[in-house]
Amino acid sequence: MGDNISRLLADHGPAFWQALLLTWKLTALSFVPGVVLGAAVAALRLFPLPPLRGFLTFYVEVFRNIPSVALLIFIVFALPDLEFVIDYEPSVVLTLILVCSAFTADYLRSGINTIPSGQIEAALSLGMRPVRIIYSVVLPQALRSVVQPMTSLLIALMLSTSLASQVPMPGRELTALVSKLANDSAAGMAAFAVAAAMYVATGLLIAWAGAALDKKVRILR
Amino acid sequence: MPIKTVLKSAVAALAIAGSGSLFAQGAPIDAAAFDALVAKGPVASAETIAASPWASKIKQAGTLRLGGTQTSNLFSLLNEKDGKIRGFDAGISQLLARYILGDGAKIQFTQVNSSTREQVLINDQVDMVVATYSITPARAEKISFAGPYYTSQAGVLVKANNKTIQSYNDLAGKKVATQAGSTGPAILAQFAPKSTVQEFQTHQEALDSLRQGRVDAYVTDYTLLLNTLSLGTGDAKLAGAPFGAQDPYGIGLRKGSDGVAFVNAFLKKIEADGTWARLWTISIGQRTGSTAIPTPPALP
Repeated sequence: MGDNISRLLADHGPAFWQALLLTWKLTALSFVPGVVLGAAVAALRLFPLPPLRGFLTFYVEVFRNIPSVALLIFIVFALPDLEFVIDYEPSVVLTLILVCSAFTADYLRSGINTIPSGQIEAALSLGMRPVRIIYSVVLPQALRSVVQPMTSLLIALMLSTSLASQVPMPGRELTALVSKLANDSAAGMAAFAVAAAMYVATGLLIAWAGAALDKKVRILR
Repeated sequence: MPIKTVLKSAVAALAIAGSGSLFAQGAPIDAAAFDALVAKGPVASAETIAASPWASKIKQAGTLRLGGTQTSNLFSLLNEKDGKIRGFDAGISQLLARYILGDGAKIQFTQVNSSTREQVLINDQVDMVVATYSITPARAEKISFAGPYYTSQAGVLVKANNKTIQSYNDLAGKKVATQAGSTGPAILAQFAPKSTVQEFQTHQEALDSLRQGRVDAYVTDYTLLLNTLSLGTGDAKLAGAPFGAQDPYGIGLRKGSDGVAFVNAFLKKIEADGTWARLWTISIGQRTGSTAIPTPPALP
């Protein structure tokens, strides 16, 4: 196994590096918009408008409960029959954004619930508008209290980029590269081991950054 | 959110999406003829089996542990209704199970893919792998191959109204689908290096993308394309004759296994007594409109 891995790295080291970069790129491209969208959904759910709330709850439940690979296959192979063709890489990113935003909205809701209602009443009595209360009182505190679950979400999202291997994307992320190498050079398990090590290293990096951020911003009550 | 509502809308969305499925799977296999052929297959004598440690071990265990696939139209396709796998590869493995154990059904099936085929043999999780397994030097370093028992060539499928692609020579600059884990990507790299290759996980996904216009052509096993056209939906056609090198399919065994000689002797037997030709006719010939039975590839 050790020999296999060193030979594999000698032959395909740059390919693994490229694949890792693509994995990171897909993660970043889906996490940032996903969090923004999720925060918007969470904030809009605070407004006392039943139809809007109903729609957003529907949105969150749908994208939180569909397996991401099923969602991706649907976007890539079913939407074109409705005359709606999205290219492969944007399809993958869109899938991950939808899933990420649903989880973000849900985590933020629990973050929002940690804010004492007295704060909202105090802000109202100071004459602040509801929109202002949301973005200057509620969201900053809610975001600070959800750093840890969001770290886990980012790791899960990073691992979910592997579903890009299910569609014929031009570039190969880690899992697609492993499949390719397994087929071409029969390098099955060694290739899996290298990719797994790269996923683990990335996950540890994210966990470390998350813990550092959490230490800095958390609110001790 | 009531779960019922979610499920209902998901079903509705899938129904809309599913209604677009045209060039679906081609002509199905004649299951009765296939089962009858396996039931009539030859059975090895006790001495033949005793002479091979590989076969004796299987005989003792009472089941043949097989690594195979369930989604390969012509070669190994699971029938969801009766739970049986049929096709050319499935026929070879069931005939071999009958040859050793006297009953083609005594198979313990493990699903494999192109990433796991070598490893299940190295780990001794299966006795053999029959899975449209092309014999390549890189694979032969890790495992041993019996056979070949079949050779395949590539073909080009395009939409019926496509006039620009007449053969593989016209694929430069075009988007071409093929199946991941097959020899398709390598063949395209050699014969149509200027094409943009998209590797799909399944045959059906590649067909869908051709129908939806995401790709201009689909390159895969020529017989599989003949099968796709066999139901005559009329919206696709073949562009040119089969091309590329003859791609030999082998039976994967553990590295250095004495099963290689045993399986080759079995293949010679079924090729000589006409079983191979009948299996080809039932699983490939009848379903692709081809009547010229090919000569089986030469065995070492």
